[in-house]
Amino acid sequence: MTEQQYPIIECSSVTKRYGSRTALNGLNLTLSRGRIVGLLGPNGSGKTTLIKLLAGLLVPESGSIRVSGMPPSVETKKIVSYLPDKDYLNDWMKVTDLLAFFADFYADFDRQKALEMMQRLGLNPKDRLRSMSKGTREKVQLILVMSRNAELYLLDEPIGGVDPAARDYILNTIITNYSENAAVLLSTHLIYDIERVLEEVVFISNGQVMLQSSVDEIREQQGKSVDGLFREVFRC
Amino acid sequence: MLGKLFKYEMKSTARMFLLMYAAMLVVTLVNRISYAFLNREGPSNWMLDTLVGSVMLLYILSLAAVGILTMIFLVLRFYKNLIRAEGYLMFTLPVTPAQNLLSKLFTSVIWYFASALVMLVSILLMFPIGETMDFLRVILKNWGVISAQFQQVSGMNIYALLGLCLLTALVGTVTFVLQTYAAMSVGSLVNSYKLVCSVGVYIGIYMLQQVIMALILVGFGITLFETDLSVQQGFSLLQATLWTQILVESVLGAGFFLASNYILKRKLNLE
Amino acid sequence: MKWAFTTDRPIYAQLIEQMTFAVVSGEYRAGDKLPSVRDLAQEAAVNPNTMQKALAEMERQGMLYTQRTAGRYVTEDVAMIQQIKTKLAEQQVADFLAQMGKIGLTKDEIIALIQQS
Repeated sequence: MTEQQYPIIECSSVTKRYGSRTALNGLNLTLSRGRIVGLLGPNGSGKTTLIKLLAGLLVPESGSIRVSGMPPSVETKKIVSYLPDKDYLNDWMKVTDLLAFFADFYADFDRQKALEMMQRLGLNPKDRLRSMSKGTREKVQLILVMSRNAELYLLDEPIGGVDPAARDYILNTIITNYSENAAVLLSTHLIYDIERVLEEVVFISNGQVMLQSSVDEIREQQGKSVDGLFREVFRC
Repeated sequence: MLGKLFKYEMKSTARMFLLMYAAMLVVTLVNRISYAFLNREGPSNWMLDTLVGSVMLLYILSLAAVGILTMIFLVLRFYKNLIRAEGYLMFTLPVTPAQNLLSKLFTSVIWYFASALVMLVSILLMFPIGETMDFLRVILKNWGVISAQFQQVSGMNIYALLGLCLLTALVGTVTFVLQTYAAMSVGSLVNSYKLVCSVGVYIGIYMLQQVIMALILVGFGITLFETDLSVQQGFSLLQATLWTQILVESVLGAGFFLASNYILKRKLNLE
Repeated sequence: MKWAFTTDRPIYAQLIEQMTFAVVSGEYRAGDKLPSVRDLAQEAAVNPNTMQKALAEMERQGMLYTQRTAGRYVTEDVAMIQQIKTKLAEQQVADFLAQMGKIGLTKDEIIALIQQS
């Protein structure tokens, strides 16, 4: 198999515990390249834990994780672009500082593209993060992540807590950034708004994958939207 | 990658330190000028003397502040950049946790030595420059005699002693920094009040160290108050003590590094 | 072009419908070059692969064709487009009549209503 042909993600019997609490319980998941996939589940289902494991921030208690055929390491971090669901950049950094930083550490960073996207938002290269509104800051973080030519994009709740216009911007950015060699895994509990953008969804609950299917298949076979199915499945 | 991290680290910290050093320079000069007043001819004036005394006090506090602020700033820098939200950035860069630790270690050691140097220069500046230069010139001129005499009296090569002291200072600084990193890494394992916990861990490590050191010294039958030592024996003892310290601190430092690396690599607990 | 989707049917099927409508209504005329899959997906705010699937199906049906290096085009078969247009219209009429029937109008009443408007 050439590198390109490895599924982008392969999780096998992954278990992750936090003290006495089990976040992931023997989770299995395989994801192919060239897909935009939604990781859907209620709070506490293990979405963020799975994403952090794929990003190489956590180590599982047992099981194996492979990103493009490799266990999470410096090598996978070179091809994985991760967007956490919080403010994680230094407030004092200017737009130019951020661009220089990402360009310095990531060989696949497209500085020109990022700069253009930021300028289209009306940003000045000398603007500091702390002078921007929350919505703009989030867009900047997204731009930096999506301007990398990565093989796997991990977006943790990218549209939670943003206004509808910003949400459209984010989804639009994800669509335009699409590449056949890469995969986007985004976690969310706001399914209705993003369903059309997803090709495939993974339902996760109690640390395990409950369902993995294409959006159209669900609509065809179940006669309802993914959002509708989700509500049904996770009814309290 | 380590080089890039180091460069980024130096750039991020430089501004604060250069500002602090500049401020220290200003305080030094102010104190120098005010002190010169004291030595002028003429009747003494208690108001002026009080002022000069106050400035001198301010100066001394500033000197101490340079040292303390250096430490506080570097500890907080590590904490903010690796343990708090910025950790999401730093630990998803294509670098190892060890590289993150080392880049900050190198940077910290450089700033500690720089601060020490600034403090030294500042103190030297308090003396009339002419006298200081003359003094240095005399020492340099008679260096050969001085070092030969030193060798004779102490039984030690002066360069060796200077080198040993420098090495002790270096290893001591490195271990100190690594101790703070280990404390913060352990402190990061709890979910709230991480910084408070880190301070607690640090104090704990320190006290443990003191206890162990005391036990070692007692174990070797070394008491602190040996009289009846010749100068030569005194210097030998000093050498032995310093080397022991270097050895022990190296082992401790390595331990702190390994502990920090393990925790950040396998037990990373970003909120 | 206004894209509107319902939630209970596959997206690719709805995309085919709406693209077909765009062709018969003249928004994309016979022989016109279509925007790239990515641009269309962006416009419709849908997954590019889903758009690709819809366009591929339309190609299979003969409404579109691909020129390898140049891109996708609407078929030049005007007659075919006309046929589809007619069928669509007929479907709309049938739906309309069924709806009117439910309301309870006779055929003459319907015609009179149309002539009035």
